[in-house]
Amino acid sequence: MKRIVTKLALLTIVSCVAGPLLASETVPVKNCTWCHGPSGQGYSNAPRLAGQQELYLDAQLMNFRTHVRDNPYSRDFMWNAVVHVDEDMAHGFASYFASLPPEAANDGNRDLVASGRNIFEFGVPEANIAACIVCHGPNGEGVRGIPRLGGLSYFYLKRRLEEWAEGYSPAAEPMPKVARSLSGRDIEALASYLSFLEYGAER
Amino acid sequence: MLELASAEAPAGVACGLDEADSSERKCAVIESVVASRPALIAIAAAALGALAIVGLGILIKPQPASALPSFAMQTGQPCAACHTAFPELTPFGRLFKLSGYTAGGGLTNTQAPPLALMIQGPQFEHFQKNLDAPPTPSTSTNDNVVLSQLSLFYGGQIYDNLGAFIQGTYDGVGNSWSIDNTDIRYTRTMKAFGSDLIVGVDVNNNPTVQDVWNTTPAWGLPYISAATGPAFTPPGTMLEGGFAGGVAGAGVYAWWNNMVYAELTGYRTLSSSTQQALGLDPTSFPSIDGIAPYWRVAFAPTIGEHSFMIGAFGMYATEVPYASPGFGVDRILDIGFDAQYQFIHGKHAFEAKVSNIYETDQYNASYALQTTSNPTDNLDSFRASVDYVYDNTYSLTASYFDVSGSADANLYGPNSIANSPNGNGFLFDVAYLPFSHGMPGPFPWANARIGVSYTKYLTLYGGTANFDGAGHNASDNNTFLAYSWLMF
Ligand code: HEC
Ligand code: HEC
Repeated sequence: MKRIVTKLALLTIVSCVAGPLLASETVPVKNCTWCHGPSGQGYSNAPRLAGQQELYLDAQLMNFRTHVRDNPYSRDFMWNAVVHVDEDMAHGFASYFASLPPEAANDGNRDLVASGRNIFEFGVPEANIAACIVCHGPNGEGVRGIPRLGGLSYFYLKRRLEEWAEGYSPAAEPMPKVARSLSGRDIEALASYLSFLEYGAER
Repeated sequence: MLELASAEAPAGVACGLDEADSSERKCAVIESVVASRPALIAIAAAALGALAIVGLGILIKPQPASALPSFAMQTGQPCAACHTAFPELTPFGRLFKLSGYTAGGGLTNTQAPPLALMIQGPQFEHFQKNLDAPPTPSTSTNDNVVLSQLSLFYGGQIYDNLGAFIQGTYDGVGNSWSIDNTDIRYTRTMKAFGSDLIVGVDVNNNPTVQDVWNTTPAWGLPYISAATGPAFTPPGTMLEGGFAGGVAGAGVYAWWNNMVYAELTGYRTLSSSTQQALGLDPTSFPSIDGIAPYWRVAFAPTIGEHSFMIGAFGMYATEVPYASPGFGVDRILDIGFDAQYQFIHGKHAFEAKVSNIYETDQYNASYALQTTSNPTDNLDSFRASVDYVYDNTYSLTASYFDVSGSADANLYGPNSIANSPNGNGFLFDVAYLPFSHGMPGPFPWANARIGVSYTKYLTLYGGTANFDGAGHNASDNNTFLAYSWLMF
């Protein structure tokens, strides 16, 4: 009598296992989603991957493999995560996450949005800061190897820009130079603006 | 903490009784003992690791453990990805568990079966005042060096979305294995209200062992405790280990938008024969009449490097006192509230936690059996703690605990002239976890936690001095513990 519950539970499990596998899982995305979130919308320190540029994702996975990208959290987590990711798998992960619809993080400081937008669109000529829009696109959507920035989390954007200025990931041209000329205030403003930028939204 | 009651609690070791049918539930259990030696040996012996253990002989006191090297093997991540300092989880560790222990990235389970080994001990145990009598023939009344636990785990993916954490613990005295913490889950991911939803089916054998926050009893403080004493510890509520191992629970849970958790699980007592087959002692568990529901809700947003949780949990059980059918049932309701804040920034991790479990006991059967002197009692168990971990390697913990409840002569009288369960105190723990980022050599997944802890009792059983009328003071039970905890 008392074993019935256990048996029922086991039965439930067995019948679930027998269910169909998700066809989309040609690459083992659950190796990534326990950190990046079930649909790649980011979680904790792991950034959003959903809707990111495919070529950029692909290149980053190789940069983790070769340790070219050496940011502290890249070392702590991503270097380990790609040890068994070969080129084919990297393509698979990149195309899977690029195909997911992105959602904006909306986690920046709203008061800084206007000044962030100003820097993004016009740069700061007197401080020799290029307009980000030139490369990253009008909605921060990116193109090919240039990443989408629109909708990424405030915390991630801020950390990335700060870490370039601290000397991490020096090979990521042209960003180390761009980031070095940004002030702390500029970085906060840019990260805030970009966190609210909906992918493809008219602005 | 999870403590299996010793069938033969030695003389001189009093137990915290709170419910007639489960008097041993709260005992400071004495089971494992090797020899009496100075403190230094404990630390030296820790380094000797497995070799030493074979030589010393093994005795057991089950406690939960985590940071499974098999999880590290399977994911390719070091312990630090999931633990600030094991068994304390990070946000990634929580999501790994909620996703059903199935994420890979390292070795597949055909390349390396997800098995792991844990050795808790040797540990050195000092009480402020000697015990009245040696807890077992081979130990002395103080300063014992004991080996407390050896466990084997299956931890990881079984197949596809089915994963498990199964712990078997070896008892050197009986030369037998028994089932310990078990948590088997099957999960699916979907969308609900535009956001991610993970749903899972979970089978486990210890209420709260399935929980992902370290505020609930199974994975909460203390992570490790003395095996030979102290003589008196405060009583605990039903959820604080009362059913551990002796029940089977099946439930469903949902984790929505990486923020909201809800779970409903039903527990049943295993039959005596099943308990025996699993290596458990049926007399140490109260028997649940029917199915006891357990629930858990939590609101747990993660904002950048900050994660928050505020939650509630509880369990309602109708219990038949052991071997006493015909007197009706006791009705026990535990309602818990908990909260946690965690901040992990680079090499720094800070955490603050509180939990409170309020228990209402309706002792219909136990009152009739005169094991309690009141038809109803209540018991409240509060704990608050803070910890700081540097580089997943150096861990500092401070905690305050407070237990209070109704005076009951039959339940607490033997320990208390005030018939009171009330007790409070502090716990401090300093630990070194050398291999959280990987161990050098061919087996990088191993880790160790080597530490000292000090438990200070301010009051016990309603008093500070001579609380039991037999000359025992609360401070006599203050415990210094030097421990080593190895995981392979
Ligand atoms: C243990 C957690 C963890 C796992 C597992 C993990 N990641 Fe990451 N990932 C991170 C973190 C943290 C970062 C941020 C690194 C940084 O700040 O430099 C990151 C960054 C990335 C980036 C860079 C994104 C950008 O915008 O530059 C990509 C691409 C990525 N991960 C892909 C993956 C893929 C694909 C997998 C699965 C094969 C995976 N990750 C598994 C934690 C993880
Ligand atoms: C000349 C072109 C160019 C300009 C101008 C430029 N970027 Fe970039 N940005 C890039 C490229 C290329 C990368 C990818 C670098 C790499 O990792 O290899 C990048 C990467 C980034 C990333 C990392 C995104 C991620 O997912 O990790 C951030 C953040 C960023 N840029 C912000 C900015 C900001 C803010 C500005 C304006 C102040 C700016 N960029 C101006 C070309 C540019």
